Amino acid sequence: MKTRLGTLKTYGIIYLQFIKNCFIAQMEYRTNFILGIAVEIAYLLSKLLYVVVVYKSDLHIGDIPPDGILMFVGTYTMMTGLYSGLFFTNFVRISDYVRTGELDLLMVKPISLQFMVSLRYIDLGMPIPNLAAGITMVSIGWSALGIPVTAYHLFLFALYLLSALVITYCLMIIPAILSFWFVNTGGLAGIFYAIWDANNMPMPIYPRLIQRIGVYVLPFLVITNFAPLSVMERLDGGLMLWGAIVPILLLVCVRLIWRKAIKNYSSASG
Amino acid sequence: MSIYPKYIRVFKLGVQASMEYRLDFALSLISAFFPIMIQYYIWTAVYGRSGSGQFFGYTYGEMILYTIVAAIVTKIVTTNMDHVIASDIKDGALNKYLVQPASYFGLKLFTLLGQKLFFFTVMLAVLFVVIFYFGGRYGIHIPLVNIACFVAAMALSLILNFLISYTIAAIAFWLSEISYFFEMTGLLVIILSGGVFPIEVFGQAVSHLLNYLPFKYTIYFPSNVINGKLILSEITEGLLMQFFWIGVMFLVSKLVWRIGFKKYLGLGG
Repeated sequence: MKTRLGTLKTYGIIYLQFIKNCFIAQMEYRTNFILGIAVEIAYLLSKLLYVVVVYKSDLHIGDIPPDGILMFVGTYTMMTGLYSGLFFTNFVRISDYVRTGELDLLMVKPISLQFMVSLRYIDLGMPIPNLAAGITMVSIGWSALGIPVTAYHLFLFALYLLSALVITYCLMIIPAILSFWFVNTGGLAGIFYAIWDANNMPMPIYPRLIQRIGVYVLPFLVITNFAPLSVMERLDGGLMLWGAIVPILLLVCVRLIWRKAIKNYSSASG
Repeated sequence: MSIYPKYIRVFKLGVQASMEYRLDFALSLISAFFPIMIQYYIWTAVYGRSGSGQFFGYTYGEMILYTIVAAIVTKIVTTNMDHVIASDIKDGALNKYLVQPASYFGLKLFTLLGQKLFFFTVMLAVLFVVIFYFGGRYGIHIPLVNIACFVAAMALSLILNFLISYTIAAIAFWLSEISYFFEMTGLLVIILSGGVFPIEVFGQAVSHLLNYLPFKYTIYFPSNVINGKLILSEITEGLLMQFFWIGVMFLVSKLVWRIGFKKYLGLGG
């Protein structure tokens, strides 16, 4: 147990070092940093159009009013920010490492290869607009619906956000890992981004079959739906449990696939 | 000797290049399906609840057709040429084109047209199936002349979109690190062109402003030609506007390139 904690601490320190390195690197190319933020604002605008449509057409999904929908769009926006800041750059690079044989060099480092490859780069600029807008939208929706701000509610919301973050990591890394077998998986990644966007709207908008698949088979819909649904008290006991278990199950799966992928790796060049 | 064979050759190379990535194309078709699905459910919820038959000036059928057609049209007219051109400028690859007895503009245009020929044909076939199916379902009758106009409008919007990209790409003469920049402009162009939602959604002021810009003639206009929303005289007017904007953007792109080119250093290459 003690050694486990020690390892965790070491990885924490390494992760802080990653953040520091990325910060220094990004400050060197400031134009790029600002343009990165601008790109995210453009994406944000396209998402805000959905909010415009929701309010202008007074869209109700089941009995969720526009203010409630705003909470879902806000959560989705926050998660997009976290994904683009913490994972995106890394996942894009994985197929490059495989193709160029750069992975050889990373393999010999004395830390977990998966940790190194999937978390090394952090973009500090890109998430800013999404996080700011997302938190604002959630807060507006939250107070408009009159949901009491209790420690229990905040805990629930934070718990399901954390669960969402782990699920995001596990699902979005899949196309990247598959590049060990199929070198070019850009098309598949495109499909995953498209499915990711299904989170833009609360899941009751989809037919039951899609909801079932999105919650139990490829749990994309857990990502933005469970946090708002839990504080709106629309999540029954079974689903609440599932939302807590599914990230652990996925982590185990991804770990197993990763191991298989590494066994399959044959250095390309280098 | 005529100057055309070389461009035809480039055109053919473009066609060959596009056939190389068929799987990628198939996957991109599938990924186009998801945004359509999301919007389909949104609109179904919007129209289903309300007694009013129209939102933003569209009936349910028109809106669904717009959503599907706009997503496909966006796939067709998106050129991604700005990235290619900008990297030519940035790493000096433009040099090799400058010494060739052909215009860079012409080469890029014909490569693009060649690359898009295959997509264009397949996408049109997909579109017609969609229109046939949904048109029948929502009782929208599309006259043959609209379909012919639609094909013309699509071809024009592809050229117009190329000109817009070509103009924006010239920014690479001034800025050195630009990959993010094009991602941003590309997205904004799609939003303003009506690729996400019909431009009426932006409200009256903005959609009025968009009347004075070329963007709506790339996605919004062709999509409305085929969903039966426009009458023949409006279609003719739109086609003329497309010609007008192609002319204007051609001149603007020439001008921007002439100014930008003075900055060109031809590094690397």
